[in-house]
Amino acid sequence: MSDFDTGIGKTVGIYAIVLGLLYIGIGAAKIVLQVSGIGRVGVIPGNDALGGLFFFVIAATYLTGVKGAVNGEYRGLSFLLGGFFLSLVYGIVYILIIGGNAVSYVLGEGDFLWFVQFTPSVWLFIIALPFGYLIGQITKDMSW
Amino acid sequence: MSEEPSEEEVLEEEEEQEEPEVLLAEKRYDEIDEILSKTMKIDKKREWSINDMLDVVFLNKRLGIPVFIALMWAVFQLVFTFGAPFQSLISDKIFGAWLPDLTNAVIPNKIVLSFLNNAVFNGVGTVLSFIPIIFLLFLVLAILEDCGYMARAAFVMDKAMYKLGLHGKSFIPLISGFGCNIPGVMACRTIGSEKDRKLTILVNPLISCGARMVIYTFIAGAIFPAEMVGTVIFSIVFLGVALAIAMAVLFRHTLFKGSPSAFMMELPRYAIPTAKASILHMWERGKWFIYKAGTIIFGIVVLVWFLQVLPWGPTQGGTVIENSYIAMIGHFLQPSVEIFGWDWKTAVALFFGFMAKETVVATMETLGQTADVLPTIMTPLSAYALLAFSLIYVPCVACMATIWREMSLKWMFFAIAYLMILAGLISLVIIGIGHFLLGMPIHV
Repeated sequence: MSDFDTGIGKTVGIYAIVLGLLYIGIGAAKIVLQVSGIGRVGVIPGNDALGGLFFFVIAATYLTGVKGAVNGEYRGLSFLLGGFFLSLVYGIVYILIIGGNAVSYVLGEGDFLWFVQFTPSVWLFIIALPFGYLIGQITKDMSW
Repeated sequence: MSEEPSEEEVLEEEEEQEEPEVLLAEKRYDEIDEILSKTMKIDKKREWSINDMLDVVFLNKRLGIPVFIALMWAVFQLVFTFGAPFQSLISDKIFGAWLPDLTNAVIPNKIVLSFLNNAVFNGVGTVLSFIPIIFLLFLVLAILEDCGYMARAAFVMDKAMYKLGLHGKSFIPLISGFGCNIPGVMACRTIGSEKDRKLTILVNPLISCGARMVIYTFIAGAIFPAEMVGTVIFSIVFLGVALAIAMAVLFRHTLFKGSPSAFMMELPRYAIPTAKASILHMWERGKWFIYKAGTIIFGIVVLVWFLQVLPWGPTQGGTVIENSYIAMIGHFLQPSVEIFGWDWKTAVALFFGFMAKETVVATMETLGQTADVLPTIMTPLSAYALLAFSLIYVPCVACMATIWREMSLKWMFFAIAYLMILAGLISLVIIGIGHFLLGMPIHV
């Protein structure tokens, strides 16, 4: 017997697969770009191999919960919640860093190029926002 | 032919091997579960709470530690990348431009001006410019503690540490060491076993305290690209944690033989921390930083400035620093650090770092090794070796005194000796790998 509606479980499960694969892809790209010495390509930084490695952790968290969530189990949903929590933390950290860099630019130090500031952590967080809403809908009656 | 023991016999044997405190806790929770099942009706949907769901991830045996490391990396990115512009605002604008311009316009005396510009603005001013970064770090750590996550981190690390033969309670003093090693050493009093307590005290100085963060931020910020500073500092902090665990394992198998005792802790429920509590915790940890800048660091900077300008004639009032007393000390110390690619001024800075770690930065700035000058005298390889050396070599004098009080004079000297040897060894390994294997230059 499932803990919650398997229909919405399938939706968040597929969404989690997409997010997990995105984190794996971008994480791998970050590592390859630094190790090969190619450097930045578009919005993907070329000197963030360690950050790429931690994208794998976020991806693993999302993907671990897919099967359980599709079956409507809270245990599986827990990993999806944990994955979204990590996306949220990374997104907020890099949004704050954009703020810090903006302050620096206003004070006359350094450049402020949008495509440099708009790191994968930020746009992956934005992509994950509707997912966070869906998780919130499933857990809205749950106590802390 | 011997008979196979039954499952019950195996369980009984395992129970006998378990420590009484573990058995007591297990029995207590069994009793609680039984009472709850008799007195409470649990709604199916209420069986799971957000707390339970978060614990599934944060306490997971495979994901718990990677998630902890990933979160700590995010913390370092936030603190050192977000905090950097605010640090440079204080360093470059307030102490680097506005105040010197003001004093140059108002004070005609060259000696007083030299003292203010070199000792106060460059020396103490640079240390004070790290207030945003240090306080931000303490604020984030306070939030992680207050929301209940740090207890989970201790729990997941405990499993790994226990497998290495370490006492589970050792992780809590090590976490305390991130603020300052002194409370970290004192927190070891909670460890009942004498061997485990001594072992944890000895490895505590390998945890990066707030004062060391000042050195890391100053050197890494000057040498490495801005977007890499957080990662460089993160790697040094984790090098410290790895060395603490490695040394603890070594001590466990040599000086303090035996197996660690059991560790039990009650995990608090997750909570949204209040701004007031987090700010208070931040202030409790961070106020010493301002206090030290105004006392011990100021005192040492004054001493360094005097040693830099005296004898007045040959140094031409501090202009020809090579003729000063401090240059004599530096040239005496330099042979011991030359192999790492550091000059005599760095040797002097490390020497004064015995008093308080922030003094390394204050001394370097007073001697003209500013953030702009560092890339011209230090390569990324020698800078990284310097970061590792600063992490490992003896902690400040106050921490040493605490080790003396908590253990004995003999153990304090033992700590100094092993940390100095380890610092030299690790720095040599870094130089060796970087230079001989990766072909990186040691000198500019």
